[in-house]
Amino acid sequence: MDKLKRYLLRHKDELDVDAPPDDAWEPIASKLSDGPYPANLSTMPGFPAKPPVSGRLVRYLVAACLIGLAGIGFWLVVRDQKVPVKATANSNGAGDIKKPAHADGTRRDTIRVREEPSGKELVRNSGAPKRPRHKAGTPAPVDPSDAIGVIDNSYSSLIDDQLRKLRATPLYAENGDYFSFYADQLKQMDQDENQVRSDIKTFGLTSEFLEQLINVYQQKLNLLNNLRKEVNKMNNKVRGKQTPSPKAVVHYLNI
Amino acid sequence: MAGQGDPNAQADLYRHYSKAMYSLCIRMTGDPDDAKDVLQDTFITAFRHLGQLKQPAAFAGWLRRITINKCIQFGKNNDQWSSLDQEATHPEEDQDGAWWLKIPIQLVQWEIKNLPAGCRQVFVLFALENFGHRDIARNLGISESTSKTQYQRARKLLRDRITKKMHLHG
Repeated sequence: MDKLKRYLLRHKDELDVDAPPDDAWEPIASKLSDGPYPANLSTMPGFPAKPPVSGRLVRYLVAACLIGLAGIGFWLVVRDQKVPVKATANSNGAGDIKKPAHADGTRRDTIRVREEPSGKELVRNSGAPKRPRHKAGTPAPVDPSDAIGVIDNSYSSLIDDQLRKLRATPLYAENGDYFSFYADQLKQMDQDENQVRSDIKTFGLTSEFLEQLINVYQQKLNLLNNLRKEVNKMNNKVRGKQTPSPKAVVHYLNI
Repeated sequence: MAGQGDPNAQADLYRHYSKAMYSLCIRMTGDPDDAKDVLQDTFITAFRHLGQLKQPAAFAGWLRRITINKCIQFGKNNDQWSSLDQEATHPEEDQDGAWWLKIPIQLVQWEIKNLPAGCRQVFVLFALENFGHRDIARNLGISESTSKTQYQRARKLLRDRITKKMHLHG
């Protein structure tokens, strides 16, 4: 480094002798108070300006999403038909569980069962009430032009898949009360979905209603995903602490 | 606070940093009005994107970088590069001693502002902002050798003008 540069770098602060004129701040303050600040980097120097999103582009994107979801739903249905559900109930390998149907007809979030040491075969979902709208494995034929049908088919398959897995997962730690929050939420979402469907019937299908319907489905998926994580977390805690005894009480979700 | 649009916090930041940034702007642009414009543009950009700054402690360096970028952009749009003095193309290593030690530092600032546009920017970036010639070349869109040549030219002009002024005023 040359000596002049070294000297100047050492005394750089002393070079800052020029003060801006007094009126320099006002234009800055007034420009900053003009409107909301841009939320992204597109307004930074060197970044290209963001082109306005056209309505047509939005429609194409929505269509692409729907086609993608329909594909996922179809794949899940095909996969379910080919691969039987794996039993995950017995971590100790002592025997399988027979899950009784609940006879009183009242809504319960879990079904109480007792593990039996004899090796009886596991019969899953024999007593759990099915949600009538989501028919797993048998999607209704969909007219490609019917956006509601496509959404129903794809999202229903995903939701059914999640529900089926949850119903088949044994609960070692908690009973139904613990997860009643999720059941209530799901019930509320069902009501929301029915309301949107009713609005569609009354006012016709608009992009706003379509978006609301997709949102409800998405919320359901998120809720079920959170529930699955919660169940796994609770089960892992129990498994980490103790080995389940043959007489341990196991519950199943009934949602 | 300033990142959330608090005018008082923004004004405080402006008061604290405006002098240093304005001095940098005027060194780079050579003109008080241009420096004021660049300064305003700098602070508007900085405050609008303050939310993207992860560490508040890095604000000074971040602001300085924005200022330099704005000055470089301004120079690209407005300044004309003058032709080089061929005799100044070779490094000149302080043949007449450390002449800068004998003069007030404020005079250096004054003479930097009066340098020709191209060599002024190179000089400021190299000697005061500690850029390498490769970075200067990339930022200003010139070759590395041009950057070196312009720096030597600025050095020579500074020395000549300052020593002449010192002789005139005793």
